[in-house]
Amino acid sequence: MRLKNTDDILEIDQLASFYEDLNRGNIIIVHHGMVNQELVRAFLSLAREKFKNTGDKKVVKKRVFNIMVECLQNINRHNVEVPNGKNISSIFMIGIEDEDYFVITGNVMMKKNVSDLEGQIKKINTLDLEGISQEYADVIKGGRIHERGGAGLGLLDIARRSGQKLEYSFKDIDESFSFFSLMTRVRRELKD
Amino acid sequence: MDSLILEGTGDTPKVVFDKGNNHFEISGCSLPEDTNAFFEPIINWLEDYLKSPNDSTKFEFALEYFNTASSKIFLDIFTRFEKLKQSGKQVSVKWVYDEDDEDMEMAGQEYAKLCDVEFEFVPVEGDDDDDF
Repeated sequence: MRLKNTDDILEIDQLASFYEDLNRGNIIIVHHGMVNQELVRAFLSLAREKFKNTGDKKVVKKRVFNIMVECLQNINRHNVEVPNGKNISSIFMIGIEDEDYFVITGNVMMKKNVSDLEGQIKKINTLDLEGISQEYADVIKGGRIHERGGAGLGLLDIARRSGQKLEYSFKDIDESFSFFSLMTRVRRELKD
Repeated sequence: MDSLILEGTGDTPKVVFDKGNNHFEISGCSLPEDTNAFFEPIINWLEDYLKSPNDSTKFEFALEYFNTASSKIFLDIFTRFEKLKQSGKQVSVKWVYDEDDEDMEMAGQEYAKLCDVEFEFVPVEGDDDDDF
């Protein structure tokens, strides 16, 4: 983080309020920057440390792990570069509330791909768990792995492990790029 | 044929494909960055094995986590086991999972539905909840 006393970047006296925001949001991990496989591994071991003593079942923590991996590998795979050559960074956060874990990712994407992605998410959000599992099975049976490694499976897996609707938004940056935000929740209590 | 043995890492599974000792195992975590590249030699080895398989083959899968790209490849592997079965050989999958990990149990059951190979489900006692 660069802290300088100018109008367009974070001022040093704002750090306290930034800290408060993270506390209030129950954020336990926050990352801003590029994502690569080394970082994925590092976040997994950091999360493993942070999830100790939460008292939650292993299967619940593993769901959060799986969602983290899918989110981070999606970002890593689909990172776009802006025309000025600067690599676009992404945001990744994990939080723990009384009832839920949540995983938040935010990344820049090509605007022309927004409607496709939004369509996928909307479709997933209409399905119940059984429907998601059926769709997952259909994709792995017939789906071709995308040349960059995905198979349309990531979001289905995220939704299935979450058991809740995917929360998302797209915000236009300019005529070519959009910012995609995704929040996934995982219940801390297992349902019977 | 030569055995294929890979030590597991934090993001790639341990792999033992040993025809001589009739030991076939994939275990640990599978979330490689480039899943296709990681599994290519494993699939190639299996293709060779299908040409001169043992009379009976039991593949053990004992996974902690795997990403969705791996899940697609596992189905490709199970599809090859189907071929083995169709050629008249005995083949089965031993799906080993932490007894508390209902998601991993369900993943195995889904594979069992998707391919015509016998699955044996083996729950094992896991570590405690804070040590995973």
